Amino acid sequence: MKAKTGKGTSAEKVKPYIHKVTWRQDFTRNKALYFVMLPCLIYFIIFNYIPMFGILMAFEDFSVTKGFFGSKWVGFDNFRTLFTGEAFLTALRNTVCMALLNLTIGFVMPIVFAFLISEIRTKKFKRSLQTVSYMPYFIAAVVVVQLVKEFIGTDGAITAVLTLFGLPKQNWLANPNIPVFWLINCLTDVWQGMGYGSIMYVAAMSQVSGDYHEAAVLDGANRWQRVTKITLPCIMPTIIMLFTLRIGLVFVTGFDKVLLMYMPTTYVTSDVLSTYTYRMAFGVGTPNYGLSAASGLFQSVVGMALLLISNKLSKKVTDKTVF
Amino acid sequence: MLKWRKKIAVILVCLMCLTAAGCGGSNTDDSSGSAEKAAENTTYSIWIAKGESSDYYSDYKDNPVIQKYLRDTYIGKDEKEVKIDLEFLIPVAGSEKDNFNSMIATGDYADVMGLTVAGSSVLDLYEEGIAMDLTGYVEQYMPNYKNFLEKNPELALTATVLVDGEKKYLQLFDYTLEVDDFQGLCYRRDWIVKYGKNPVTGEPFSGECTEKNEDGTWNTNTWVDNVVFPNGGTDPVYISDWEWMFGIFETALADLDIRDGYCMTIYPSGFNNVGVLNSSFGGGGPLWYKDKDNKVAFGGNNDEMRAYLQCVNTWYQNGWIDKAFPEHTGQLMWRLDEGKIRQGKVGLWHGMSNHLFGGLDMGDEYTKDIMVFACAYPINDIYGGPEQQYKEPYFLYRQSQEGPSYMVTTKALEKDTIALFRFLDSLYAEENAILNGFGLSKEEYEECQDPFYTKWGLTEGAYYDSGLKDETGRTIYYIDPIILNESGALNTAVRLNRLLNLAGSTSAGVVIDPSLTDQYRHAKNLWEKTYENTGMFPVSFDSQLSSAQAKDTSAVRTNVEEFMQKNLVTFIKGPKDPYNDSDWQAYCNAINKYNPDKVTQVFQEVVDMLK
Amino acid sequence: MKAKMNTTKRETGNLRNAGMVENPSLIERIVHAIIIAVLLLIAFCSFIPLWHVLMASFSDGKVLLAHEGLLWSPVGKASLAGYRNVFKDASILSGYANTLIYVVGATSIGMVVNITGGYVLSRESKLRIPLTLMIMLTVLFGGGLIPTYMVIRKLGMTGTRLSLLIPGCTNGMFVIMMMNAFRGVPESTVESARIDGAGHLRTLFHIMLPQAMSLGTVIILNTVIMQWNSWFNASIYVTNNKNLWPLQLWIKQILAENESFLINANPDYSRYLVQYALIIVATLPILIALPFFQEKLEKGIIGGAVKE
Repeated sequence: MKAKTGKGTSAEKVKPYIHKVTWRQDFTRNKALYFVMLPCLIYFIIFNYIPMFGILMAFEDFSVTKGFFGSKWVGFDNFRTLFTGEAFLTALRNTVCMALLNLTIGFVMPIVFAFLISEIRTKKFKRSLQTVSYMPYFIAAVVVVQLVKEFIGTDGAITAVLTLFGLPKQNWLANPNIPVFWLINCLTDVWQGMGYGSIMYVAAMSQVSGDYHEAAVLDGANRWQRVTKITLPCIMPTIIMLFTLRIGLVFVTGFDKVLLMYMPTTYVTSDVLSTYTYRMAFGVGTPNYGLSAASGLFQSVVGMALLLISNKLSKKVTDKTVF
Repeated sequence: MLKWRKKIAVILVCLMCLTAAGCGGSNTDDSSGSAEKAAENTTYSIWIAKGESSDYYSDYKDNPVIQKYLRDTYIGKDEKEVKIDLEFLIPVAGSEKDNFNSMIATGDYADVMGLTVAGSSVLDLYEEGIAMDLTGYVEQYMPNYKNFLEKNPELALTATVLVDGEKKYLQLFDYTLEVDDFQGLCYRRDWIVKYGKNPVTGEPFSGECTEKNEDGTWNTNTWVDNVVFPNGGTDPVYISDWEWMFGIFETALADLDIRDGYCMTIYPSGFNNVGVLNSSFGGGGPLWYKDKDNKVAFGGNNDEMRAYLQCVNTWYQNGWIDKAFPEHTGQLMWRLDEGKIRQGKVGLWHGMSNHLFGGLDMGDEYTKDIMVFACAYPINDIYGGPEQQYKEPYFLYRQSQEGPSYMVTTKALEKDTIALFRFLDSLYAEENAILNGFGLSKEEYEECQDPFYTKWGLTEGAYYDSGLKDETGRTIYYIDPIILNESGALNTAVRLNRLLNLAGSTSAGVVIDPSLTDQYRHAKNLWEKTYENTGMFPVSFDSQLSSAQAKDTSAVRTNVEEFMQKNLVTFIKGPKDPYNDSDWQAYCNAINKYNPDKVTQVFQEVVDMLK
Repeated sequence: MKAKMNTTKRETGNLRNAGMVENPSLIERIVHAIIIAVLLLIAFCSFIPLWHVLMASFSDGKVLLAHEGLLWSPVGKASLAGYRNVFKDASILSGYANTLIYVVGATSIGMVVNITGGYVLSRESKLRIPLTLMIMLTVLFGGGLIPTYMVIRKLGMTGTRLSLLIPGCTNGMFVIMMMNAFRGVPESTVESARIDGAGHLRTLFHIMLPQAMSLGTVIILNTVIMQWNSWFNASIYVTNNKNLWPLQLWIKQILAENESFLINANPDYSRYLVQYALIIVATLPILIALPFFQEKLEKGIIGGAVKE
């Protein structure tokens, strides 16, 4: 992350290098540098840029035998079909809703956890709590989904607890009603990410000088006031930085767990853009590669827009940018 | 300096790992059988959706029957005798469709591919240039295949597809000679005996096994009882018989204090597209079916469906239906809630042949001394009007002689196609049918000493001569007990189950499970021979649709089916009520919006064409 | 972070403690107790699913099938049948070996790409901005699965280990992160190294890497986790080479194979235990290793941020 204000990085001003030097001079000076860049460059060209010709599929009526360059060009037809199709709009709605949950509950929980952890004085206790809380993060998605199926299935432990609250006993993962799958997905993410995500915040909180706290206590502030008036403002830059980063990526991540958890009867709430894109190419009766590529392209464009917006926001609020 | 050295060391180690790893990655090993190696152009790749569990062998080529075929030679191009080799490509479990579609999309497909998970019809694949036109090859090099079709004209009708007015072979089917239904309705006869009373005299029933086994336990195949149903016979026939049974089951469940048991469960979406209980209410099915006069009809919104829903709704309100029935998603209709069935907490269910008689007796609380009998699908005599009553079902789930189909792709043209088709044809020779369907005989085993058979102790072959003959004079062979008692899938691993072929008992002999006796035969009769299954479209019906017809109908079919899956449950469980006219009318109107009649029309065209 | 006073941590700790111990009102105590209770609950929730699975894996298969709810200890007769089933053939062990190869291999190759790329992007040059943009673009845009597969097939990598070591070893984000890490190294240090006559590679290894390594550790850890959990790429590129399958793919396969065990006349209930035993086998090593690299992990994440 680059800091725009000259703090910590080069104390000297960045030389206006690029404007003064010609290409030839630059090449002679930096030959070795560019040479070092080669492995990285080759990697990205081969594995990222060359396959990008696949984006063409979004504008074609892709036929397998005719290939990329022989298929009929249909311009924006695929996009038109995409935006008028019910399944796509459902997937879009689901993605947005799950993203909102991700940005609210999913984002706040690690912070809350960090606050709670920071209140613990005993070092050993704190460390062991943290270790246990990190564990879920390191469990593979395949396994996590198995656990979810085990616990909220018909015979699951969580289902049993929910019946105490009057909710019917059922296989919650097969429930297509509105917030069920979204909550399951959000809470699974929270379960996995709360501990790991809190590391940054705990570190930031420990940076807050004890002097502030001591002064506040002497002035008679209680715990809650100390939290809201001192700790929170101090870690606000961190919070904002992580929040803006999250906004940018929220549209493109989190696909593999949903893929393992969703099923046809719950598509109405569980299908997201990534799984829709995937299904259009592989899962459905007659694969429609053009539609799939269009959906993927749409996702990328939106993701980029979000990232740019969040970057601008971040600059406005904290004077720092992500890129 | 030290850090620098360390870093170099790390990089070197990684490079070494890399090269070692890169070299280590390899393709399939050589076959274990043939001494001479097959040439490049006689090595064919075959894609099948499922292989055998790695408990048996990880490469399907190690299947003993395949090994036997690989030992033979086939006449290829230029009349030369060649040895062939096969490479089996099997996707990761759960990703079959993805794998198939990505192979097609990237142009990296096999020579022969199974079509069970194919997205497009074989006609589309042919028009895209992926599937080959097999007509010439079938005519010239596959006499066994043609022979079988000539003997079975109904199957021959759907073996070809109409392309531009000409009948072409675009796919090859997996055929079975004698179908053996392994699934059907089961109910607890022991509960009827223990808790029921004779409907006429009011006397309690009695029943018991009459013979003992060698080890002193009762032989459950010798059960006799004096049960009489309200219809007067010894087996249930009508819905009224079923309701009488449910009353008895209710008593049983209460007496045994089984809180989480039930009389019967129903399909999770309220119906199953292979008809089953639906067909008892007028004969036809829940989606599209053809009646006895070959007229196609749609069953999603007719009075028969309404009568069915009224019946199941009433049963649900009476507490006879499993309250958790919508949750058994993802289960096949003959395996709904297996866990409960195996615990002995269910009264009536659609099960499998290994549930019959004492099959479920595990000695625990509710399965001790269990006795399960088979029954046929009932005939409605209570609900709806005269059109929905006393009609025999004709839309049922039956094993068909016609199995999944396979295509030969244009990739095979680069190789010796003549040898390939000669090999494929040998899979359909009638003398190989028992080999394909049951495994190696003792002589065949001794010829090759197949290591897989040796490992599992099948040194006497997969079946042996019982010394008996059946009614038509055929030799009866018994399946080796090692196979019958194994708890996994050994019975499919010893035979050629995953590839196209002609399999089954032939005029030479019939292979059966020796523990199944006359009682069992009677059960099987109830399952399969009582009603005729004329209402169903054969498996290959879809491949008969032209591209345009398929396009017209597929969206409608998907939408209609999804709509019914969402709505029929509400008629059984509530809040909707099938007895309520406005509820029913609203449902019919909604479903008509999807225009199901269009599909009816298209199907009628195809049915007329096939005749 | 805004305030950076020169009090040492120990001092602040004591000061804080002093402030607290003087006046713990009843409310403060209750609040503290509630906080501890909530934390314990969270720790409990993090841990209990794994405990449940561990207990299930030792249970008796048939009894387990009928059981509902949470498991505190194995039900029925405790047995190792599930584990025996899992290790029956060498697949799991082969999967482990392969995963280790992929983890080590892909992380190393990835780090080579990340470090070289990040370093070059952090130095001033005319191509710096275009190159950076080029790499950033790959984070969001991609051709998709099919074109990538075709490229890899053209290179002849399908069906070999290389297809799992190279294509997925890194991504644009990591390179950008390394670039930022290198930019964080003070210019003066670089200048003095240059004056001493060090070339680029020397500068890179001797001077910059040690300083940037905290963020590098985070990247390494993330790559390791990604590789440990990956199964999708293997299912596409090495579908038919079972000897190259990573652990998670085997788990997926075995879970699917054992799903329909009830279909047989004599169901082998230990197959029901397989799914639990598998989860334990796949997750336990990482969880046991966790406390050991926890410190490094935290330092890395914090280090990366504090550079601001």
